[in-house]
Amino acid sequence: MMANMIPWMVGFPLLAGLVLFFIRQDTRRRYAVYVATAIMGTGSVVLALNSAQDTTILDPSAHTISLVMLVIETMIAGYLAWVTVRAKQFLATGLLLAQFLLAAGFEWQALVHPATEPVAAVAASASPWLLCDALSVLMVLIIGLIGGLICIYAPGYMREFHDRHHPELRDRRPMFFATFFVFLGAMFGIVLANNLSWIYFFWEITTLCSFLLIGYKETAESKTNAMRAMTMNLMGGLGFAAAIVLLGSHGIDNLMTLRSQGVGEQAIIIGAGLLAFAGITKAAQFPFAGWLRGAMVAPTPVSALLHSSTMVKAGVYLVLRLAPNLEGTKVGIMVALVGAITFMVGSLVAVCTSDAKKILAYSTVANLGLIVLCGGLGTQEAVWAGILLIIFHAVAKALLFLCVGVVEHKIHSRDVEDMAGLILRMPKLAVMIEIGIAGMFLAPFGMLISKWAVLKAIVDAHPLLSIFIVFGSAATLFFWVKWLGKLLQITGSMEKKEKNIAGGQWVALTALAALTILTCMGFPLISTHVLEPYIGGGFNAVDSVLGQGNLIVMGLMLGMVAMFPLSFFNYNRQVKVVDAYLGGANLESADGRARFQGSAGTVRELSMRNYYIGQLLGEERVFTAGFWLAIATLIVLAGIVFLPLGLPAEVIPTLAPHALSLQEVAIRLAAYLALAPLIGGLLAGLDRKLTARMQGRRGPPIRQAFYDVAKLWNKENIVVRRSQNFYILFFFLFAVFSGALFFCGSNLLLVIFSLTLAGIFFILAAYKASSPYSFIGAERELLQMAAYEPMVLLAAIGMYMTTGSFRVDDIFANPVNPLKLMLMFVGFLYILTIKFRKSPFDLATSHHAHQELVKGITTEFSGKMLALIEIAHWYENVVLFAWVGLFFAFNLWVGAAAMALVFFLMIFIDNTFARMKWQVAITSAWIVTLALGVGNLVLLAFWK
Amino acid sequence: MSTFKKSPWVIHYDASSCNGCDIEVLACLMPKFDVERFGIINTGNPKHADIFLVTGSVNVQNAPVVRNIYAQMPEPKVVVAIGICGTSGGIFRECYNVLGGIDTVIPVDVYVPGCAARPEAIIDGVVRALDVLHEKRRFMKASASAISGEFLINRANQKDIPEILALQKIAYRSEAELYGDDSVPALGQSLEQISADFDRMLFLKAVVNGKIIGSIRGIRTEDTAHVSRVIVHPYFQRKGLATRLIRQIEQELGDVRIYEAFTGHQSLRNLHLYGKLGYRQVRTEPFSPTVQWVYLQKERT
Repeated sequence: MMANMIPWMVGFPLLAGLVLFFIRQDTRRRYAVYVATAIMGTGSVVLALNSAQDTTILDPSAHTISLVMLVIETMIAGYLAWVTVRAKQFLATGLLLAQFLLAAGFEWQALVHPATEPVAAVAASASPWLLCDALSVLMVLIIGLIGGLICIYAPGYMREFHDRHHPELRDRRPMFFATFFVFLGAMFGIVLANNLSWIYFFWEITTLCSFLLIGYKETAESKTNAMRAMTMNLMGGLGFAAAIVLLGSHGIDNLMTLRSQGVGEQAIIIGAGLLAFAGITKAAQFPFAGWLRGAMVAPTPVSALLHSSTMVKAGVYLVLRLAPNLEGTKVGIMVALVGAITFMVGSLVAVCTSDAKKILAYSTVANLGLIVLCGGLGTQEAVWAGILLIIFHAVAKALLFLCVGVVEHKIHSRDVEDMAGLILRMPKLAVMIEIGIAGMFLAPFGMLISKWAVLKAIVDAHPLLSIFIVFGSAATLFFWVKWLGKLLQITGSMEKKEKNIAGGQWVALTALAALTILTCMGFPLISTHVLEPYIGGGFNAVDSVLGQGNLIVMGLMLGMVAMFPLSFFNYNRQVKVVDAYLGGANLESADGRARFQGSAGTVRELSMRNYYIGQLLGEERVFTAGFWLAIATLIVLAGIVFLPLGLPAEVIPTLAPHALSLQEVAIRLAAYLALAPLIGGLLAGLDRKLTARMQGRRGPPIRQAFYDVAKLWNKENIVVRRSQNFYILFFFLFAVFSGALFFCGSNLLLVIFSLTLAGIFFILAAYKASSPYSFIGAERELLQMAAYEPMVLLAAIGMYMTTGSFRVDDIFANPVNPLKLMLMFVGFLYILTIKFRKSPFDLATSHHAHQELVKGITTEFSGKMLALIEIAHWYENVVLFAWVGLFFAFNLWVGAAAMALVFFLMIFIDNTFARMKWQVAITSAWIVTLALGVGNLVLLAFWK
Repeated sequence: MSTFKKSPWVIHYDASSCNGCDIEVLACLMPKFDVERFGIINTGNPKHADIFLVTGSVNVQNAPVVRNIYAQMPEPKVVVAIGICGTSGGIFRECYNVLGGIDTVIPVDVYVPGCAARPEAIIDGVVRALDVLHEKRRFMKASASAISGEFLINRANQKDIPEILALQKIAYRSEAELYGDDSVPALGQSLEQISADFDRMLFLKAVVNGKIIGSIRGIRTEDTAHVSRVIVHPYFQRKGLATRLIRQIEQELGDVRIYEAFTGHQSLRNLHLYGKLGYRQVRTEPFSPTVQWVYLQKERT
């Protein structure tokens, strides 16, 4: 059965495409698309279900097929040559001819003189021509199901695209859908083929489809971008063709044989490198990222299908396939470095733009970078993380693209700024976007687990690469949260726009949202049933990456987050709704939009805009910098590759985790829950007392912080938006939870993720309150998080590198030599001023009255909620001080002294420095992180 | 709870003052007087504040600001008018644009005289305000613990009238905010007018701990009973008190064919309440550019 399935999987979409080309009537075409999609989707599921039972694959009449392919390839090359010559793009023509001559020549040769026996035996699940193992099946499912959903979405979208939004464009829908399905067929081909020439054939078809679809609008811009995309992909194609010839000359003509060679001869590594190069161009890694950005001119289904969920995934698929050949080689490091740079730069660029599709494109580039990085590292845990990333990214990103497509049609803009209040205007879509975004970065959902695994894999293999990850993660956090917040921000009653959305679009969106949630919850199943068998070699994700305890903790967190919608049952609770604080200058308005009395009697409408840190980074500047950084890296590394330099392979001995009994956990929890607020409150009081003394005042009593909270507890609860308080509850919950994790000796990374999640809830609460002061406070809080996140992560990594464990208990039991982490400690102190919101970095809010933001992020919270915020900060502060102590865990007294000293130092700094601008906060924090954090990492590499 | 006395957070607003008192307020925060000894913080944000310190007289320009800030403070809250201009309008009283002291716009609890008020006097005023705050908190707590069955609803006496008027002004503040119009008649009513009302109408009062927290009045003309001025103290709203007041007065007014009430067209809560009690809208009449009266009727069953 399998033997017939594979050609059928590839052939059916091609056939469907052909049929669709001749259907001119819209309704008929729509049903044809639905039927074809249903068949294709079912086919992929059937293939997946059967692959486990039947792994024998017969050789089809391969030579005939090869011949047909060669003919088609020649035709494609002819067509593209004609197009490029007509457009006077001779570079593209040259690339095209070169690779065609290489590949076609080789294939012709192979046809005339059939290959001798392959070098090594092929795996059981593959023939020399075809391949159907767990990874292929996974890719088939992604293409069949997610691609299928995008196909269901497309007809409705394209009808609206032409009828309402672009009547000026020529209606080329028959060509559009035909290309769509041909492309899907080719994708199936890529992931199911084993023979390199065959993969190459399908590879070129996807390039052609991408070219046609990017140029769909036939405007000058789309034509240029299509040509650029093709040129860059042709470079990759040339690499591919060269690899085929090179490997072919060593008797390797298929993927599985290549994999079985491992890290072998120089020629094989270079061949693998060339293939990885092709993968890198296809996956739009820096320096080739430009084509993917340009590809966003295409209609949204194209962006979703080709440029996020599937085609670019072919690139990373290939790189991951090559993992055995790359692991531990210099080529591998080169690939990993390209991926790492791309992740960082892609995320940073995404911070600077407000165009939703561009954000999605940059984030796609960045995440693909992460996967490429995994492939380059090639270790088992890295490959595991990479494949997980492919799954989560494909689902969540397709959902986001499709949502943005609908939103763009309804509000006539795809600018994130224009999506303010989408939660009122298009509630269902807004929730879906939120699900997508949560899936993309939020703890404890899918992507974050993979990112964690990547981080661990990197630290185990090449710790210095983690620099890129920590900065990239901070940027990721920044651009996603501000988008999330924008959706929630409401400054008045708004018109509902969620009408006339085609049924097919709803089906696709709902299914993708459900899939996002399902994959997040079901990832342990995917891991055990799909990933671990593929990786093989006794690899067990729970043991080697995650750890049973952490899995439980993440389950707990997932449960807590899942409770969030429940808070809406509390919606009509007795709170008083008042206007947002506008310096008392609020004006009544009939239409419900917030207005205020400007100077000289003018009436101004309230408007708020996110930070895009344009002067600091700037989209173009960062993009160009990334381009040159990648080129420089490639050149430098290409030189090194041919030098006979040995690599320092460093293995950090991992500690066996120390298990806590349930009783012990209960005791610690009780102690923490009771003592932490006590200590935190006293510290807050002491802080105020000392501050007063420094100013020559007597100051309040030390218990003042408790009085304040007790008073707040008895105040009335006033809100601007009823739901704003729900976020505060969850902020409190997660702030307390992260401390509990810390003191129960759990994983430091988990503590950080949980703290970050708490911070995000706090920020969203302030966004939701939608007052200008709380809004800027939230934005600044977010900036501060982005500023300190890299250093916090590096501090955890430093502790792992010195002790061999991320777990607090283990670090405590095997204390670090504090001198080894001295630089990091200083860096940690620096960001601590930001985390504590102390002057000079009390940007988001401050205890002092001289706050230009009124009270910043806390402005709109009163009564019990403000009290909760205070208490949450006490818990947080206790955790942070405990972390300071962890640096000096070798001696309890020294640790306590260090904590006390840090406390006094913070108060001293607070009262000695003036507040600085946010630009200073983020740049200085990053520079400090780079200098001290990275300096320390380098130091650790030498200091054994 | 004594915590209210230990943690008063203030917001400070300078209405049309010469800034003399303004500077003295800030002087209180400085090391010499150091009000943080008493836990006082200048929050600069009405949503966090307990005490509203206002200096200077109120003029047309800043009256809405004073009102906005007051409205955005959570209960319990007190207002301290500082300086002679704040208490009465001072030497600016006769000015064409000046409305007068702070109490022309919002209810004031403590008056601190002086030109400029001395820091000692201001601190003293704040300390007095603490007692008021404490008292208001107790009142609030009473409301929280009072369940609807325990209200005592009686006919009001002549000597209750000033207290009812004061309550009326507190309760109708939200209506004025709703319409952005201070000309809501209930707010402008004088003691003479309400006394005249008392002579011809039936007044009911709801009492908790000896304090009047709600009132209603009604009059009977032929076969129609007119119900008006449902007043409930803000702390006690949404506890079914208004419903009970209306039911009670319907009973007290005796055997009529039709009950009639009226309210402003934007007072959705009132409309909802009457609707729930079986009243149907019959007609609307314009009252002022911003307010329309909605008349509602119900037939006796």
